[in-house]
Amino acid sequence: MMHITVALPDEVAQEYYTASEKLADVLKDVAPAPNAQTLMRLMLASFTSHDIAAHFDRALRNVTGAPMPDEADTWVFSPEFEAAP
Amino acid sequence: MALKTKNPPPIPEQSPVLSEERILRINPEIDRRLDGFMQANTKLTDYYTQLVKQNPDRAIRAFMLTKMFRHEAELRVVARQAPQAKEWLEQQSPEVKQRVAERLDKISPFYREKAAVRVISQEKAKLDFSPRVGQSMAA
Repeated sequence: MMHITVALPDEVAQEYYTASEKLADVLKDVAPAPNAQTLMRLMLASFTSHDIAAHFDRALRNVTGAPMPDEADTWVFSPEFEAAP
Repeated sequence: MALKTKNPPPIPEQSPVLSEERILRINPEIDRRLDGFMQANTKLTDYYTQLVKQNPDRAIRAFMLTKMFRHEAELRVVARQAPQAKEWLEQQSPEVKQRVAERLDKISPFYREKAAVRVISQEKAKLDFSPRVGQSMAA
């Protein structure tokens, strides 16, 4: 198990604490709600390295104004598109 | 931060129109998974089959609606992640910022998955990603 300490913007952290409170309402009288740290672990477990790299790429494109990705169904269906110019 | 919408796709220099043969080319692996998904979701498959045959115009809108929801969801995620990417970018030197912008411009986002992994891994190799002050990691 790896333990990490990451500086989070307040508004980002707040979302997790608020989510924990929402779940406390849902689970009231049934089970203790997952705390914010549990929810952070849940969300961090959602992505592969591939997903994370793609997210960062999109965010950078948004910041720099570079072209954003388009739908790539034709690429998905056609592996040879990979080698296309 | 104002959310940028998608830029119009770049105009291909060589083949502006994809041939029918190329559009209809099949990735066998994806096709096999799609077969399984369709067999496991017969009601949905029947619904779209009927829709395409009986009301193709509405079928187009149904298809695009799915795309729109996905696009909007992606934009929401990008909007929330952009400050983190901006923070990283602002920590880089002007030369690196310029290089990143040029690289992203040059790589066609059409191949987004391949391109994203390539750009990030290349930049990662060049830059120091060690934890900064205020960040620590212990095994």
